[in-house]
Amino acid sequence: MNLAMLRQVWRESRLLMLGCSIALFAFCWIRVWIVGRIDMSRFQGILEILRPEFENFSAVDFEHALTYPGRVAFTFTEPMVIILVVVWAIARGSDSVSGPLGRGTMEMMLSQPVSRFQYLMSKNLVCIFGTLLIAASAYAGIAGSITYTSVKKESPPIKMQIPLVKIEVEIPFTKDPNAPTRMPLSDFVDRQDMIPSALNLMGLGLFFGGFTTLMSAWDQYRWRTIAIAAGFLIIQLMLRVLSLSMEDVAWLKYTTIFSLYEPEVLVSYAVHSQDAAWSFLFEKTAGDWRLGGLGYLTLLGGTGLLGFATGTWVFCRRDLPAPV
Amino acid sequence: MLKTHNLTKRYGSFLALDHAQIVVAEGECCGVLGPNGAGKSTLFRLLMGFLQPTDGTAHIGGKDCQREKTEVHSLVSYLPGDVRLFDEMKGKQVLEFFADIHPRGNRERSFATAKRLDLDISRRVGYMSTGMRQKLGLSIALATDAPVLIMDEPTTSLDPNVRGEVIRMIGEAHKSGRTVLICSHVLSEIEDICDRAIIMRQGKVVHDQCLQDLARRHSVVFELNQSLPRIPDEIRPRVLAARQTDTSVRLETEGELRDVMAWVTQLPITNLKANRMGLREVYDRFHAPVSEHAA
Repeated sequence: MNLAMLRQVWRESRLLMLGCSIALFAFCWIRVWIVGRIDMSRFQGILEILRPEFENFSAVDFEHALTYPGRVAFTFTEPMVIILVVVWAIARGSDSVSGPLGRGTMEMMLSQPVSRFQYLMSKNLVCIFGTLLIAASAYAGIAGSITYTSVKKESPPIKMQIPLVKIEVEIPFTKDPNAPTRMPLSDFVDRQDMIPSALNLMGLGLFFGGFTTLMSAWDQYRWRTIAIAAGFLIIQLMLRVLSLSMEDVAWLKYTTIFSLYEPEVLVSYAVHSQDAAWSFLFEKTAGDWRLGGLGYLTLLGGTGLLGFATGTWVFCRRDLPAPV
Repeated sequence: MLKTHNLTKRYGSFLALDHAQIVVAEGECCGVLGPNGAGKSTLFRLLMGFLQPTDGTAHIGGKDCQREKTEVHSLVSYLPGDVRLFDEMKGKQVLEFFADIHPRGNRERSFATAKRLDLDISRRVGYMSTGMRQKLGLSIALATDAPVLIMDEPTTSLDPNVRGEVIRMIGEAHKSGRTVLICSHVLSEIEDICDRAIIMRQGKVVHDQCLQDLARRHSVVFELNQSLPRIPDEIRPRVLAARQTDTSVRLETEGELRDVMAWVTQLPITNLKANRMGLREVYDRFHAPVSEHAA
């Protein structure tokens, strides 16, 4: 590996990497803090009305979604989180080949004793490292916020049902005045339960990084590479929504990469069984085999790495056109 | 030092380079001439391994330009036709980067070259003019102590003073024993520094001219109102070409001019002119301006 080359790629990408990491860290921290500020029990009645719609669009149980771990897990599915990871991946992936070709800097660069493999590998390594750092920042934001956020905890008075009329009434003197009003969120959510989901987020970044690098290796114009990657992202998101919302086209879930990005499901697995969250494949109920956390990561990350490898193969064999 | 064998590049039905056979000896300075689209840049890009040949091979320093690109690049210092560098970096940082990445690069030499070219390296590349970017590219290429120098139109966008300085620096590189392959549209530059000139047309190498031989050639033009008599046998070997139009005659001679002139002056001629032949005359044989073709 050429150190001067690696330093140059780092110099090019450090601002975006740090910007995305800090933004994601802050967003995740605030998002979890907001979870701690909202008492969901007050909205339970309203949410019960929306249960059918919710279950249509969600991959997790309604009951789990109302728990603190469930609500914290939804941080990973926030558009802001997905956008920041994908922006990093597409920006760096598109800048691997078609970017320098379009700007005309590739020719001067490759006239130096640096092989095309070394050149692209430096770009790929920084892209992968950045994805890892951004996913780690998301996890750090969530874990930090879980540690320092407190939630309101009430000890409701005992209720008694009056026979015959079947009306429930509270017994006032049973309310504990010494019960703590706020408790740490970490009493309800285990930070480690979020690790498989953070890895799932990293897998998503790796997938889009690899996909965009592959498109870039073929292309000559960065704007076109970005357009292809963004178009692909939008189509994949639409397929995901359609596959969840309409039973007739549920098979569409096999055509979207977002079927492999289910951080909220991984948290629900982790809450019930750490083994499931850290396995490749596990048997949820008799005969019902599901992908575990490592399964999601391997498929997403593996496809992404395959994209990086294929992109490198294409780049090492293609003609480099003169700057436009 | 540099050798191509049947080097060909085809884009669909368009033949950009047609079976080019070029040999440049070690320490030689060779100029490549031709109009736009003649295949000069394609030749250079094939030598640098940016393009894959449709047919043929190219070697620099015994290394295959396709299979051993990295080894070839460590022997070559290259200046592309259109120098574009990292806009966000300062000139100094660019020079440092390229001096560090090339095993034959040297920061101090790069700074000294930039100073000689009167380049302000404290400025960001993005704010540099085209000429300044060209100077920066030249500082990178000329400061690298590689045995082969390949330059695609090195004096483009430069003012006459800097142009002269660049030609002097390329000449110095050549004198120090480096092999130079240079492409330019300015024929006088090629005449000043090169030992040889290769003329290309429509992807083909159509002429290979030794410039030392050219220096011994003359063009003798005169008016004659009769057909040109038979050239005497004793001077015939030195007359390379003789062309007669209605009233004028043009002889191209090689070597000693005295006895040719003695014969010519015996003829009933008027308006005799004798000039040392330049690259322009050779170039025009293959690429005469459209107006002359029409005439």
